[in-house]
Amino acid sequence: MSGIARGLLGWIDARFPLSKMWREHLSEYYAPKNFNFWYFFGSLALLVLVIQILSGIFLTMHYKPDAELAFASVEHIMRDVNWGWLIRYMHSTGASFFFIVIYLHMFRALMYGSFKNPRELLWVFGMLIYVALMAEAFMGYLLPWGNMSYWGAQVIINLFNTIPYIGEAISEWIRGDFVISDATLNRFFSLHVIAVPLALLALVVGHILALHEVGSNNPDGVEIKKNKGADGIPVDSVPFHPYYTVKDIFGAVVFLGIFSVVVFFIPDMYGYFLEHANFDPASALNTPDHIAPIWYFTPFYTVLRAIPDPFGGFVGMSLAIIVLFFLPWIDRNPIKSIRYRSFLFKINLLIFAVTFFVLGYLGLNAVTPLYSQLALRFTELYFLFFIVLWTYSRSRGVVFWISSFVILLGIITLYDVFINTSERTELIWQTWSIPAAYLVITLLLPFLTRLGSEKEVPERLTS
Amino acid sequence: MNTCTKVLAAVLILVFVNPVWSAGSEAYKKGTFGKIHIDLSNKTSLQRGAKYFVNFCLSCHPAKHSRYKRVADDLGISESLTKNNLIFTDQKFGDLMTVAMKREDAQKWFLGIDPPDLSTHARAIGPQAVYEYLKSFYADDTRPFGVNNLHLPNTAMPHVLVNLQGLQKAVFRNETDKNGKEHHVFDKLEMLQPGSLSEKEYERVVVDIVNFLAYLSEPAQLVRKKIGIGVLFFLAVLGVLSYFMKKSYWKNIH
Amino acid sequence: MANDDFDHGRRKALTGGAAIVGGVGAVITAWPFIASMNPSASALAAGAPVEVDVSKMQPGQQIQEIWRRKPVWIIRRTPEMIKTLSTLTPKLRDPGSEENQQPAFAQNEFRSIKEEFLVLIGICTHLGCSPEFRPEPGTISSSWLGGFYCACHGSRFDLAGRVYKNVPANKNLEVPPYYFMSNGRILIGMTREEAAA
Repeated sequence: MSGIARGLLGWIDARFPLSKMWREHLSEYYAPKNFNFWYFFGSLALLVLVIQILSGIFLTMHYKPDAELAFASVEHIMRDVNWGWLIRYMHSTGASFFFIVIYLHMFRALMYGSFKNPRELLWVFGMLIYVALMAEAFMGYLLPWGNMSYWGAQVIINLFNTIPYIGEAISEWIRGDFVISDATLNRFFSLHVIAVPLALLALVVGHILALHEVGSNNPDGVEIKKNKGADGIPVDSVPFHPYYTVKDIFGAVVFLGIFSVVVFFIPDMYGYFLEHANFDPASALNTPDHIAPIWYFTPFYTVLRAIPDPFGGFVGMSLAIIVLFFLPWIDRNPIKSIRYRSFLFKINLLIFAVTFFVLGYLGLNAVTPLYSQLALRFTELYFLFFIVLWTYSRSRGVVFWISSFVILLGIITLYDVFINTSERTELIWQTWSIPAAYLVITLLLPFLTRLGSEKEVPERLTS
Repeated sequence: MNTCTKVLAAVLILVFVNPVWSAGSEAYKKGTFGKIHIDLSNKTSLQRGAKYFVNFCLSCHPAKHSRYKRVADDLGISESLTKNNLIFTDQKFGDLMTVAMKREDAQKWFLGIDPPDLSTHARAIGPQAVYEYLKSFYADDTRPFGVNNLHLPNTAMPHVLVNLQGLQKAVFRNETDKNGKEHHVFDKLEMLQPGSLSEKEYERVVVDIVNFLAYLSEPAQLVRKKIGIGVLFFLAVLGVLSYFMKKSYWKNIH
Repeated sequence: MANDDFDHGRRKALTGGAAIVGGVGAVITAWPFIASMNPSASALAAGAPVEVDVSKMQPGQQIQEIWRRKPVWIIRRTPEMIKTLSTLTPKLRDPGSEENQQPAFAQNEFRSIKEEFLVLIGICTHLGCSPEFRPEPGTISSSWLGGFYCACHGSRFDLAGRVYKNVPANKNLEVPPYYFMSNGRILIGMTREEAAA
């Protein structure tokens, strides 16, 4: 470093902790040296956030939050504004990629127990980011004022109608009108470009500060701080900078390659990222043939539709998200990483991942008797996952396993009897095997086989 | 794992082989009239499509997000050619392709329906739908304009290309399904009064129009893939560099 | 951890290469964002050249047009007005139109293609107010021969839009590109050469 640069840095450091922050968060932040593929998604989420903010700023320069002008202003961006199409596709593709990255990031935490002591607050911060992101995406989706924007928002906001007594007042308050209208568009614009991004940025700062306070988990789930060298630095660690900066740069370039394939070659992703009905302007008289939310909401949308009572569906959907906040207090098993947990834990997690996909698939499609029955079954699996996860917190006796099996299957069967009608009977009993088989695997195999046995956790990182 | 696979297989079979999902008897099966192949590199097809579009569509359907100048620049049509052949109103070269018709008039003429704006509509319903729509008009005295459409039954639009294509008749037949129920099923179209074009020539006109509408629904298509290839090439170079950079830093970490 | 056999040269070269290529990429990526702030196709269409019919203008009359959202004046000067121009030279800051405030065709005493017709952008070169057309001699001061007067800060211009000495404005009023499509029709916004291209 030249003398002038050193002098300038000294001047700044005397007034602002620049070097100190650099050291604490990068050059002397010691991270486990065994991060694998799954550890790219944190920095990638940050990258997508930057892409969204940048492209969003420039879209805001040309967009008009007015029901008469909004659709035309988006087409103005797509046609008249220099490079407007690129900026818009970056933003629309970025929205979907944000959720892809976040879902993988969250799944990583599930696999390696990254939410467990002492990282509970880190997890809660992450969940708050996730919820803020859903709000951000939902409000952003209204802005193009296409026909799917309009009807999608109409349906979702009407969910609040199902709340007893105060529901209608709440949904009118959200809309500022009796249906989705100019007033709704204008306030969603305000929230989408100012309020929620501000909250998101603050939460991301909180998330990173919490992470750097407790240190990163790793694929072995072993605390590196337990093995420090004479210099006080964890033995199995490397400084984040330059080791993980260069690694994450490589990850970012690969990510940008995939991102660019979508942006430049398939920006609507066959109707999954930009729904086709949204290329027609919003029309209060003309409902699209099939209203489906954008893909990242569909798992929860399916939970909503699985429960016949409207308010019950609303509660179920909310619970499906809320339960995730409590993960650190549900999975109390001291073993963090999937590497040392039982085979049945792996199966349980795999089934959960499949369940999430199936719920998402069902939410994209129109309701048929079979689909609505499957929606119910997979909603049951979704919630049972958390109960099973809790039972795997420590070793249990045969009585515990059998009684929890009987109780859970009993509740499910009772519910089936309760909703049974003559035309549904066949479907109900055919699909009954799904939760039944799940419970046999997860609650009976632990004492019938040795598949529930866990492995010894090593003292230090293995690789 | 075995039980798990079985459950999964059961689920997949239920999802994909389920009769409720795949059933559906319609009077007419989509795709009966062949598949459209969109070729945006065919500039002459796009130019002809633009000409047909302003002649047959633009009098009622606006393309109000698109500008004449953009179309002319993209398709390689000069300003004077555009002014003489594509702009029929007193609009300027840089203006949006709106229609002179008043909205109330349009609604009155077309059974209370606004003719949809065509700048984005082809992207909403897909080029194949436009293609089938333009090919499946048939005579039907019960409709106000004397024609009906297989793709969009009871359409509010007259068959504006009838002088080119000629008027067709739809032939239906009765079919009995496995439950013994009778269905009125579409069989084929037969020519009643031939138009000025042969079947092959008319096919070309339809393909040109659909090709043009596909272009019009997203003009950036003409450049974005080319730019994308450049971007991917650049990222590949950067990817290789950053991969070896990462490797050189991590060389001694075991 | 830090072994001595680090291939420092190779690492440095790779880091430098990645930094340069990445930097180039960042600059290229910035371009679409910067370019998106240039006038869009709709702004360019709204600023397209304007055709004006001047065949029915009376001598001494002024008409206003809008081109690129700016006021454009067309004045049909009387022979008396034209005569004043040559007498003013010592009082003007730039009588020969040396400053680049007009297309080449208007770098003459009349600052126009035809002596009779003056075409100007009606924005004061001081701080952007729109001056008034004051053709009556003796109104602004006793020696006033007619011209343009900007009420904002008192800048004065003669009947060819040339600025007087000792006023806030220091440049002549701008002449837009234009040409005569026919005897009575002017196209404002384009020179004849540009239109032919």
